[in-house]
Amino acid sequence: MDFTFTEEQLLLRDSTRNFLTAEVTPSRLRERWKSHDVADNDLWEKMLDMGIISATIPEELGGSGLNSVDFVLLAEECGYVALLEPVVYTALVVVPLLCELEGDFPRELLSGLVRGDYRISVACPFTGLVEDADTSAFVLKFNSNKELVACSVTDAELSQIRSIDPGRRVFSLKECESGKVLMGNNRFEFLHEFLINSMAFANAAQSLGLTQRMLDLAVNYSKDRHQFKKPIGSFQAVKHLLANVAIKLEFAKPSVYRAAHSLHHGAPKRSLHISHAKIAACEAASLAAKNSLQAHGAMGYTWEYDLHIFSKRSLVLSATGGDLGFHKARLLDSLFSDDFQLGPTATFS
Amino acid sequence: MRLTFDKSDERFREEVASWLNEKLSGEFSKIKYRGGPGDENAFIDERKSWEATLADGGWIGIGWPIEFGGRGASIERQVIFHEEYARAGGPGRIGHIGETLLGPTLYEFGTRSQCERFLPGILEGREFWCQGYSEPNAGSDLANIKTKAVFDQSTNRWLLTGQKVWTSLAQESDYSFVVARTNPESSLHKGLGFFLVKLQQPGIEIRPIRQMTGTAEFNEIFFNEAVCNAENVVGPPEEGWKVAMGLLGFERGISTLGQQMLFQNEFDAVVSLAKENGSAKIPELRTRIAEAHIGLKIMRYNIMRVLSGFSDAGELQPAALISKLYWAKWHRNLGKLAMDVMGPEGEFLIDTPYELGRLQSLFLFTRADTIYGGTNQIQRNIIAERALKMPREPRG
Repeated sequence: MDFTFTEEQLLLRDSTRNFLTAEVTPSRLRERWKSHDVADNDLWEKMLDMGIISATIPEELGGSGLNSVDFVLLAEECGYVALLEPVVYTALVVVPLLCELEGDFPRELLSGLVRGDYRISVACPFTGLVEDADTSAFVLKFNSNKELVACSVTDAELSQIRSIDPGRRVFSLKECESGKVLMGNNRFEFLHEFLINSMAFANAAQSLGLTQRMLDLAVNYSKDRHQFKKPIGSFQAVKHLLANVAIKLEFAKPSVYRAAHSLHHGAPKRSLHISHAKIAACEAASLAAKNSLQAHGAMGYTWEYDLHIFSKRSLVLSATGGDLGFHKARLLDSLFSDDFQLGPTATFS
Repeated sequence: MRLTFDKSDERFREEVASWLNEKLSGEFSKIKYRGGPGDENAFIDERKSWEATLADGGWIGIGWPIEFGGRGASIERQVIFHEEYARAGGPGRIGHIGETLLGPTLYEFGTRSQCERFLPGILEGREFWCQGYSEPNAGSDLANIKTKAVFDQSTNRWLLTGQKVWTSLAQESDYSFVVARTNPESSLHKGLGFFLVKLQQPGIEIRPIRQMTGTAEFNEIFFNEAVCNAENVVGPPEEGWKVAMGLLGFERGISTLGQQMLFQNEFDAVVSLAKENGSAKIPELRTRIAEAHIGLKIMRYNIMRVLSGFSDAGELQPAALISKLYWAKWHRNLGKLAMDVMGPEGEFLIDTPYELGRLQSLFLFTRADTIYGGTNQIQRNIIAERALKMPREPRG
């Protein structure tokens, strides 16, 4: 039993953090809000060079062969800076899905990703919407026959949907039924659940980073801001608000790491673990959004202040990849099933 | 205890309902349900003429005493008016600061001539007011006001210099009541005056603050030797704090009735969406909708209880002290519930560049509810210190 990360995993996290906090600043994100219709290709290229985009692609195809336990810390860092580029979905959803498939074409797609020839995105199994569809060459989705297909984006009609998260670029696709069939519908149930699990896990990991970011902003503000001739952070009411966030966050972390381990090892109860992780991490982010704003007072409510960048992102991550209602229902179904194991020997089951 | 309305009250209800339905079916039909939280900037001109129409019908200040131009309506009738106003989809009131806060403050603390000068503008829906309390360094610590007022004997006027912030709808208002320091040697609650200041004048600049809703309901007001005539100071120039606090007493009283009816409309919208999109079948959401219903009923019962025993504005009962904290938390939770009921579609904007739907506005705007008008943390201190008489928190 060991929940710790290796030195290598931590070093990789640190170098990713250094890169992201330097590159993906709030002001750069705000620039992107203004040019809403274009992607930040420069940033994507840099991350491609660093190997973050191809991190989870097997080594024999030119990637780094990282698994979900290796990558979970990087996903947290992407959440911390509210990265707009679909790096986490690429590494934790698109790549694992393609790796599940047999045949030459999925391998070809993975090689293309490593080379930086194109991007590949994936349709949300709940809404059918696709993030960054316009910059992708292919969209992975289920067609009406429940076959998994890779649609060529050039054949599709895209329409952009405006999100409450100002930087998020999300599209609905029309006329995108046909495409190269990657997998027949005999594996639909498995792949559909696989897709939901991957997205939910990706959102959970990023939510941890977002929670940390909102907490950091509030802690720093409460040291600077004075009322009654004292830093507001010296008042118990404000301290406790933020301590409650820290508690939620620290208790959410092991459930996300447990889910990472289950995903990596294909544990039979991975869906249960992922639902747990999604609920815990998104609830932590939701509390952080609420309490950090409260600690900031009216300042945190303004457009100019950066807090809403992170709170709006966390809102979207909570509502997508299966919302709270979905994951609680799935967790309960599992809990009430006849073969659900209870008792001390089942601590990690 | 009597929890029903009598026959004459029911006739009054019919009168209100038919008047509102008639007026809101014509030119004003487009502002029905508009101008609420997060939507304050919508249809400003139309909503200003709506105020004048309301005034023509005699519906502004119905709870004010008759001698000050009101109708002296009973609590029951004020409740009925607010219920029917919400049912008819009456637009968000631009005049509510004047009607529910400044008006009562003036007839309680002001002079006869101040009442004669300012009450008619409110009652006729002509003059609109905003509240100049908070400053950059006087938020929770409201008494730390730095805006100064200097008396110029030669002209018999006060000159105000400083800054107010988070002022709702200042850019659409004609006047602001401003708390400013008249005695530079003073600190905290002493040496403050309560000024009635005209906003259209050279010494005043108003800058909107964009909020995370994308709209700009709040403003900064900069005063640079802005003028206020000596006769427009309410109460003694060094004892404005009493007036300022008296005004806040009205904020927690009758004015919350209209707000609760608005809450009812929002709650109804959440319930009908939940039924429509199937969220009502999700156990998690069912439970929270039930809790929201319970909370809303509790608030309404509680305010009726407070108002029944509302004898003097100065000293609020514990039942009144809890209302701000309770509604702010309830409303913020309703906003989150609304987003969860919407599910993944909750993120879609109605239009570019950043036009929010009604429930999205509700969600984002209610994030401010637990901050303005005294944060939850300050409210709990007030409850502990004033209602429970616990020792004061060490300060400064």
